[in-house]
Amino acid sequence: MADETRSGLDAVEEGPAASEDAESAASGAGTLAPEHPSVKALRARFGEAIHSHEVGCRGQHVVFVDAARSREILEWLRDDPDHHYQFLSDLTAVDYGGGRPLHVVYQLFSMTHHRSLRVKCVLPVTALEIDSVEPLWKTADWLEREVYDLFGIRFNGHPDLRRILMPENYAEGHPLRKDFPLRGRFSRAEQTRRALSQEVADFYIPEEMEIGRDPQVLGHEQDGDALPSGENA
Amino acid sequence: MVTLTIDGQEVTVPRGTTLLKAAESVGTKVPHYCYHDGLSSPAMCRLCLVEVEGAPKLQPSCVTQAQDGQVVHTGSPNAEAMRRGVLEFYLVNHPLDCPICDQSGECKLQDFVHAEGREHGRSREPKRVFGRDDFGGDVLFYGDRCVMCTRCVRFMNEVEQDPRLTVVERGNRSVIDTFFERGLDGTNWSGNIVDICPVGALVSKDFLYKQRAWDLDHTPSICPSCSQGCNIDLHTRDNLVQRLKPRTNLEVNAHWMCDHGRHNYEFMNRGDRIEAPLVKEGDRHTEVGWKEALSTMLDRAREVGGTVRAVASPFSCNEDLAALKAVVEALGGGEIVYRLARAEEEIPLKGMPTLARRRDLAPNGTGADALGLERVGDDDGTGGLETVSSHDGVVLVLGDALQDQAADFAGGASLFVYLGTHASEAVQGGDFILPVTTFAEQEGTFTNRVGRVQRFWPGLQAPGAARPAWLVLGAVASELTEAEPANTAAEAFSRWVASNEPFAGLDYASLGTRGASMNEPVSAAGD
Amino acid sequence: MSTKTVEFAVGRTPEMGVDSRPTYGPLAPIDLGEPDIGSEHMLINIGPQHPATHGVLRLVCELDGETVLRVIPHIGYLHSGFEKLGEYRSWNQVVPLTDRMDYLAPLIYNCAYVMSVEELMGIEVTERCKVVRVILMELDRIFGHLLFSGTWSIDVGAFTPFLYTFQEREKIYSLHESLTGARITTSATRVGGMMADLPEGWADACRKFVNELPRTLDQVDYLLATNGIHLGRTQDVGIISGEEAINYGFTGPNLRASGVPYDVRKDKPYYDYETYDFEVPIGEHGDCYDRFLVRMEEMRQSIRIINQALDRLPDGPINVEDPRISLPSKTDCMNDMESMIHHFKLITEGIHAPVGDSWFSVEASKGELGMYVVSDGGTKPVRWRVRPPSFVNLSVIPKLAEGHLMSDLIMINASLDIVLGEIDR
Repeated sequence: MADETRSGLDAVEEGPAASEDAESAASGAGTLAPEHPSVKALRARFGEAIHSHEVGCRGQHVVFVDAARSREILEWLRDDPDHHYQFLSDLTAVDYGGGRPLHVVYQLFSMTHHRSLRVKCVLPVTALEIDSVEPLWKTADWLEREVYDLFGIRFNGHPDLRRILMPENYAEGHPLRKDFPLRGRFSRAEQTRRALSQEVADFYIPEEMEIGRDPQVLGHEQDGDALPSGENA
Repeated sequence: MVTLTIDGQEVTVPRGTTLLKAAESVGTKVPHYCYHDGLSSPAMCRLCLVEVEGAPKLQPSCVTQAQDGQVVHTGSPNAEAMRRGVLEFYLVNHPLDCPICDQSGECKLQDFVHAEGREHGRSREPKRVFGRDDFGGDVLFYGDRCVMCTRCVRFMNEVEQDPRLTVVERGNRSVIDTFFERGLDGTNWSGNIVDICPVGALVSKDFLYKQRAWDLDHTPSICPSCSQGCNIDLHTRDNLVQRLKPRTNLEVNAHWMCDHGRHNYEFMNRGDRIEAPLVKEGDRHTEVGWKEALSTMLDRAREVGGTVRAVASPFSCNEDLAALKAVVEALGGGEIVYRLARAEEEIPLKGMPTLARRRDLAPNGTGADALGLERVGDDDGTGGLETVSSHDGVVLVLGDALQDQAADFAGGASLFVYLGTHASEAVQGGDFILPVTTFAEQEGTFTNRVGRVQRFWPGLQAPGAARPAWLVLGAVASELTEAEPANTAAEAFSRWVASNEPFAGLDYASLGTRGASMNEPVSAAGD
Repeated sequence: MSTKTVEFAVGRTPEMGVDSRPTYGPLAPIDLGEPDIGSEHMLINIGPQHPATHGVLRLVCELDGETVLRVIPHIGYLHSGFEKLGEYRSWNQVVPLTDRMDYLAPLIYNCAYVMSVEELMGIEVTERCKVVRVILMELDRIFGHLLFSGTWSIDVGAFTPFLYTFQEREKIYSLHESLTGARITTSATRVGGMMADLPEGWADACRKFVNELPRTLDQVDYLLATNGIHLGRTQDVGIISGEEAINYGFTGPNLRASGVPYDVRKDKPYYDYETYDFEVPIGEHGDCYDRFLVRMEEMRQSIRIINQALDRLPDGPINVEDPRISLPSKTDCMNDMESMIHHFKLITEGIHAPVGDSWFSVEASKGELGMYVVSDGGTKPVRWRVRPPSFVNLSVIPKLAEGHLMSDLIMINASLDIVLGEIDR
């Protein structure tokens, strides 16, 4: 039967879709690597949740962990006195393109023990969510907002997950994804139209709209103005 | 089968495989110039030398056969030092032409030297100079750049089997040359020597100074100039086809492509296209949107009834033709004819018996036949449309621009619909003129003369509102039969093409990039 | 109508005598007869176009009178998509993008980027290049801090130090220009070296500048460091403890003002910083005043480093002599086939990087600048991430400004020393 929501004739205007989807490939193969004390301890404590460990350029250690247990693992890395990664240097994500999974990257530094560690979690393109580490490191507040804004990865438990660099009402998607074209999805005309729109609601987030919502109470009526509410002398 | 170790990896290959091929099978590319898969191996460039344990000297991997238990190192210090030295020799006389050489960006000399050559040159002697030589045909020869791999000489000798090139002089003065004024005139496959030349010594006049190689996008496609169905790549930039290059397919065209097909790409770049669906009102045509055009057309078709006569084109892909067939059937059935220009003679490639520029000068004549279309008209591709022109029912024309027909073509038809890329006088009479894409702008399949169904991909963006014919006709057929419309070419193939017996069982996944044979290899109609 | 009692600190009272010198009598309640104005909170929008926000920053404040209850910063007005653009450029073509991020200290960004790429590719630059980069990074640290002290004093209300510091900055602009041809958008570094070696006389000009700078710093100190209004506006304002600062990701002078001795040059040294004799000033109170003092002192320490670096500046090539990384000279390129080919391939394709990723951080003038580059073996980055210190520093403003006055908010914002170019990228 013909599609009820959209007839075949509509599809002609839109044009055809490509026959192929991009294939997805696994990523992050582990290799035998020199030791890192935190990785050893992680393996001992979390076992299966630690997927692999690599050593890259000039001895930088990367450990891939299970995204479902990331919060737990990172909390332990922060709190355990032998590791004590009290400083979250950076939180970002990498999109490799072609439908491949995204990597969320946590760069940790321990001031106590003078050690760095890079923790990565692999997220499939169809399930871009992970637990927020904002309760662990307050830095993650804005860093996670930026990753959400630019990649579309949702951080569960983040107190205020909204766009930070792009405008609040940005509708073209998540710019740093590989399938996002360099110049955006909308035409210049449409982008300009949206940028010039002067809707108050676009400029203030709901939290801000609540400020000063109750009108000022004046002691007497103004000429002809009806007071909306409040005390009247 | 023999088992040997290459760069620490064990590999088993059939007896007789050269070390070069064995290394390729494990992903190691050994640099080489004179060796080519389609030609003999003279082992003269000395670049492919590899270290074989036990042998006192380095062995040329393009001719040395793999033996059981051999241990081969392609990247050992000796091999690397050898390549460094050989490349240095090649560069001693090589002109500093990179900024003006067409081959830049796809030059094997550049790639190998940058990867493995010396950091600086040591030669301070003046270089030997030959200058530019017009070899005739489409080929220019810059003798300074030649590395004397003799691939061009061997191609003409062994593959085209019309020996036009040779090495003249000797030592430092050796150069490739033609025989007096005859040059390459009259050859039909000499464009291939431009492809196989590893440096910019042989360049195409057509492509000279036209584009830089790294600016071009490559899209796999099928040559539309005859029914051989050579696999090609469209090299495009700025939405124009800049050149065509052959794509290797050992079962169809090996590594080659004829000059006739190679230079026949300008038609893909034509600008005078129909850009929007046009509906006739009175004696003018108005531009409308697709939905409006198609729904009006459907209403009219249901209203007028009558038998259908259709004209198709052998330049349309299987999906387009099958969708047309579905529409014709849904409207009550009717005849579909097509015209096809035919050359007087084939142009064979003597060194490859199954490859020739065929007489049928269109890519999908066989596909049309397999779908039950009838061939009409003469060898010029004209005429044959008298019954259609005088038809009083529904007339559908797909792809055929009716260049030779009069302005009153199908004047008496109750409904005349034209789907095509260009308009002609005859087309102006159409009640509905609908823009469709050329094969370069859509996905689809062509069936070649021996029944091989091959996929092609879009390299250009269609102008205006042009859409693939299978999408348009498919939507119409779906509306008429209340079936699901197809949104991708793969679906269109499965829905309409594969329901025909010769194509049954095929699908895009099985066709891949190499193609597959249809069920009954059809003997080429009018070979 | 209800009346409100308003108390004045200064007022004329009936006790004032004939003697015209006013006496400030006891606080006298005055009946104003004014209506009771409701004291609901006010929404104030500062920016994005505002002289005191140090860039296109928008602060939405909830005020109770003059007191800031809540401030919500909005950024993104300068977002140019640098990280996205980086994915479409070869390794060396990304360098001009780095100038535009922290435009107040561009050489630091130039250096940090190529250092992270060199780390990824395993390239060791020449000794001369290391020392030159140290000089340039410290010079731009002074550059950034001079701007800080200039604009800081304007925010406090003192205009003169601004003129002094910007006059000094002009001299650094001249040094930039003689080295690279541009004042701000220097693009001085390349993977494997620099775009050009120091021109003749540059080292002397730099030394002259650096040795004359303390006089200006002293003048600024004299005007500001013990000034009552300055102290009143900045001491005990915007305090953050060391622990909290670490958790919030504070780095640079902001962190050190809170007493945490973390400086990338000392803790994760690069380019032989451990061999230079310099100190890192650490504050005590974590307030705005300490942040100011830390930066003033850092400039003096940078002068020490620059002098030491100029003393030890070795001769030799400035670029790595590998034509697969650094461009051959034009002379070589035009005379020598191999160099022609290498030059051509480097320009048209770029440098091929190995597969992998690399995180590298330097001590920028604003804090810890981290660069994360990911490569898939090609000539362009798959991902180029900049961890801008100002981005993280700015996120603390809501916490710092809570409960302070409006004018304190301005000082807190200034004390963080932010640059919107790197925040928004």
